[in-house]
Amino acid sequence: MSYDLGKITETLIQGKVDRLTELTQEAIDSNAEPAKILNEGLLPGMDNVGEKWKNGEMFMPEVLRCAKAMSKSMDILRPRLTEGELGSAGTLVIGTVAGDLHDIGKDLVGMMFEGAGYKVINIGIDQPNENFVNAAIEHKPDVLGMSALLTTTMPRMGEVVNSLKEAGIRDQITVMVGGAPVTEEYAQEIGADLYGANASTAVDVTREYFAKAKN
Amino acid sequence: MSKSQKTIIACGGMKAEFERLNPADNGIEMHYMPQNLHRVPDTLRKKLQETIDRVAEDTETIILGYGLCCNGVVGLKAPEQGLIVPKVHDCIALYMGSTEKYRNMFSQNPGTYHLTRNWMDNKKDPLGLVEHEYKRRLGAEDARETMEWEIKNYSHISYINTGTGRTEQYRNRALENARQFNKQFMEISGDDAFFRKIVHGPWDKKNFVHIKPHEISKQEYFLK
Repeated sequence: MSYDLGKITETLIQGKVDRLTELTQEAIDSNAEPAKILNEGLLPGMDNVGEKWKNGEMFMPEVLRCAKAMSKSMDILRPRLTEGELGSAGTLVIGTVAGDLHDIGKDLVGMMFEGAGYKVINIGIDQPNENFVNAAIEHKPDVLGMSALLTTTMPRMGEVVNSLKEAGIRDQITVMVGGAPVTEEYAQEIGADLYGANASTAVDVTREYFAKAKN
Repeated sequence: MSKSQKTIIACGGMKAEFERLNPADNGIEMHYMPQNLHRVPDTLRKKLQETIDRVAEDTETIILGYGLCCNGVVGLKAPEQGLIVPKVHDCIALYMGSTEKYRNMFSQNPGTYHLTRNWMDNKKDPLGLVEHEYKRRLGAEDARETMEWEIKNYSHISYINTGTGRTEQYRNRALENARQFNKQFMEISGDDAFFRKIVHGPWDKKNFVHIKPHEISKQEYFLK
């Protein structure tokens, strides 16, 4: 059997959920590296979807299909990504703040970070502030990501930053925020370190941030 | 032509609620924008700015029938006479009559998908979206499944009854949405108090953001 990563990319962009699942399984059966399927098949597809969404070439229902296809495909890949692959770059704890039930974008960010070699601990939606702090203490992540899709719930992110300070662990963690209503300016105002405008950018800015920190 | 005293630039989604207050009889000029522009906030901002700049010469006071609306009003430049904007996150607070009521409702049931007559009239309720948009784009089977996935975390579907139009019909439609997507239904009484304030004032600082002449609207004004 053979596999075609270009076909995987294309099928993801088309949002064909079942077909993508099949192709992912076929690629696995043909001994393709799971990390390669993710990085060279799925992620370029999702980048393209993000770009098309931003430019107004793709609409909500199509994007949702792509996100779902990606998610199903990741369900196959995740258990096969070896420990060394997931976690080599660091650990990300990610969740949606209290009162906010949106998870599609947050989950995509999580998958993008898995693609970038992060171990991702997804604590879910509607998470009270203390759960972020507790997860930070427990998992000691390199990055703590918070998502808010509503202007009414955005302020929780700043509260979590303050709680991290009170817990005395703010300096040990890089805080990233994102979600449709969140702006770069807002991220700075609440004292976050990083702002992810979208799922792919989130990974890029994190890479740049740590590369700079090393130098 | 003499200047009108007040001009309101509002989202077309709230036309029925504004028109019920007879703004024209009070010498108020109404401009309605297409509904749903909050989903494309950059377009909303651009179109709002164009409309503001166009009407600015012929009116003394400009009030927006918009809230923060996905940051669509952030970055607007106020004209010579300044700009008055309801200090709300979105139209739900306007339909409910006050920010407090919205906040209370939200803290009780954060997972509520709100429907008003306009959303249903324009087929923007989940059933309407599946039938008129998602099916065309995705095919029948995927359309339904995609909507189920999109609203999976919501526990309730509400009908905000503003008392306009055929309320019985809207209630039934909202109920049908709840039934088909397996959500709990609730009805919320609308209140036109905020609409009255927009039309007649007073535009108190608690409920309205006043953007000074030539200044740029910022997100933080709405969050304080």
